[in-house]
Amino acid sequence: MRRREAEAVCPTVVTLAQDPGAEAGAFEPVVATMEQLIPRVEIANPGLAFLPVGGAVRYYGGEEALVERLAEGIEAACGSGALLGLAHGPFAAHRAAIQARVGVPYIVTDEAGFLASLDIGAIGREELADTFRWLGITTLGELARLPRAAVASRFGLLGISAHEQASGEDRSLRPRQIPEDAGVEEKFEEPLVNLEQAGFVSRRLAHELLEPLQAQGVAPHQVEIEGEAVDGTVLRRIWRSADPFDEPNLAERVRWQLRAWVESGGISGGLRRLRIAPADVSGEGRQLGLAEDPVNDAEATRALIRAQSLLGPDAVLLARRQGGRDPADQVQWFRWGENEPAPARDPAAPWPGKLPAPSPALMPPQPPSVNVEWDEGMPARVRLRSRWEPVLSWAGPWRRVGRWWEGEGSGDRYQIVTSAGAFLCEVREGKTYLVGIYD
Amino acid sequence: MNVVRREDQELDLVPGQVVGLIGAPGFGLTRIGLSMLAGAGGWLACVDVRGWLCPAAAWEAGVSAERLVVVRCSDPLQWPQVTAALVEGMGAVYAEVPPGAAPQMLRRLGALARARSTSLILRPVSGELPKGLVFTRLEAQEVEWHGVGEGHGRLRSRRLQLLASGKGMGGIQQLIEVEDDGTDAVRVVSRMAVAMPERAVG
Repeated sequence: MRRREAEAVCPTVVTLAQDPGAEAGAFEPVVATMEQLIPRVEIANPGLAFLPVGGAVRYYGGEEALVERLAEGIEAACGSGALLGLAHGPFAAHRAAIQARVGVPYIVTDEAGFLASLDIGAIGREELADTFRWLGITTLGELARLPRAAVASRFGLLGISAHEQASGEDRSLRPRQIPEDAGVEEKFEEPLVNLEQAGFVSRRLAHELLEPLQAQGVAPHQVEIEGEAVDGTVLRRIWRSADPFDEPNLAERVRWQLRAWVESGGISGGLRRLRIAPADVSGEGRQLGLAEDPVNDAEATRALIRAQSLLGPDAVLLARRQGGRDPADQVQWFRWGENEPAPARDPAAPWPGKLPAPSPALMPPQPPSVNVEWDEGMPARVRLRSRWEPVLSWAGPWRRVGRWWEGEGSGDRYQIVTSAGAFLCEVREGKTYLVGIYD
Repeated sequence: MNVVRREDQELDLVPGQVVGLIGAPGFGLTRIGLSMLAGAGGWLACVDVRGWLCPAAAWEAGVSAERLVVVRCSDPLQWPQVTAALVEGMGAVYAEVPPGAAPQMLRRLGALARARSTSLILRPVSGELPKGLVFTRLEAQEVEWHGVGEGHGRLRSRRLQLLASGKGMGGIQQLIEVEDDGTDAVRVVSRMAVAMPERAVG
């Protein structure tokens, strides 16, 4: 449901932005509980984890016993609500978990039959599923009965992976040999205690990890994040992604994980060592765009990382256009390395009272006050750099009404031209401020 | 003063060469620098010393928002390292020079730009650049705005006079008049070779 519809149905509804970091934090106790029973948990998303149970089934004496223990453990640690599915492959297990009910785990005994009964939409790619439906293939069973070569010739890689999922052979990643010691590690003389620092380090480590791998044309689908606290506790987690990790993605996962550890109190006294290693590497690689130049981009990335490490994350910025009256309002800043935010105001909407182009090239964030001599309401002289410059021509006043409901005052704007350049000034409560310089 | 007319050319960046823009804020050099930046390839960086730069002006000058990174660096001690890092990796860099930057450090930056074939535009916030550093030196002489009158109209276009010198100008001082209306590239309107009276010729 769209937000507007939701607000129409329930006017008092509060909408919150998704916070994956908090989700990862909330999921952490669940993962910790599972890890006590079965080592090497793979987290796909905050809220979805895969457990390899081959050995554990034998150890605990059967699938039912294992699932029961797991359900009990999770319920004791974090309350009820967990959905558990058990099957041979992760895809089937995920579908089984979706069909399970709270307290009633779904154990797939006949995997081929279970998958065959599923709707084609389960492959998760909406467009492909629509095409299959249009061709008369409505269940995974029907898809699996098609010869794989035929699917491959018609649908390519996507088709093959869908066919593999439908046939229960999706333990998908065709792992290549992992390059010798592809992991990257950083030790901290002063333990990391601050989440902001951690985010920063995670971005650098992600870059260090992925850059050499990129050169070999491989990209990890799984990474292992390992942290060592000051008291010697070593924490380890595997994160997994359907698409190969790229840098922002990986850095984000690392940050979520660190946040989760910090918030659950797993790291006492700060982090002494952080290591990321690819847990498996797929040859699917990333296809470069036609205009993309990996060498240039890598160099630029390195330069920006260096600048960011010198100045901090808030100093290296990208900007996008958004709607607004002032040129300063029309710019939406965001930190380099973060995802581009959606424009807060629509740039295509009309903005009555917008300052016409050309925009001032320099706009002080806190406009300094400037001395202007007025002659019967018309600007006559401006004091610039300790000299009075006569005003040659001027335009205005343009009334700018602020957000009065938030206590913002209104002002009058003038474009003032002198022989030393053109300036944008605003008169507020009898004082004149230099808002912009047409430089 | 000898005045010789030369054919019109655009103001372009030469990879690996340093352009110096000299003049007080208001004389329109920021926009000249930004529109020169727009013609360069690869990633573009602006080193913003005061935090005043408004990217809207850069977009109007033709710089694409996807390629532009603004680096705010108010600390004069960190400025050389940051600018050097950017010169090493970016396609072109427009850097405001904080007051009191050491001349030998600026020379080192120029050498780095030449070694890396990065175009570097230096714009001192106040004062001058050391001699012999820049390939092309553009000094603002005069700015004239059109479109406003006595309280009516709005700023539409401007014409500015730049005194160009350095190797990039073939060792000849030239008086260049450029015109822009803020929404497209700068046009060179006229270009005169000027033999200054105090300058020895030959």
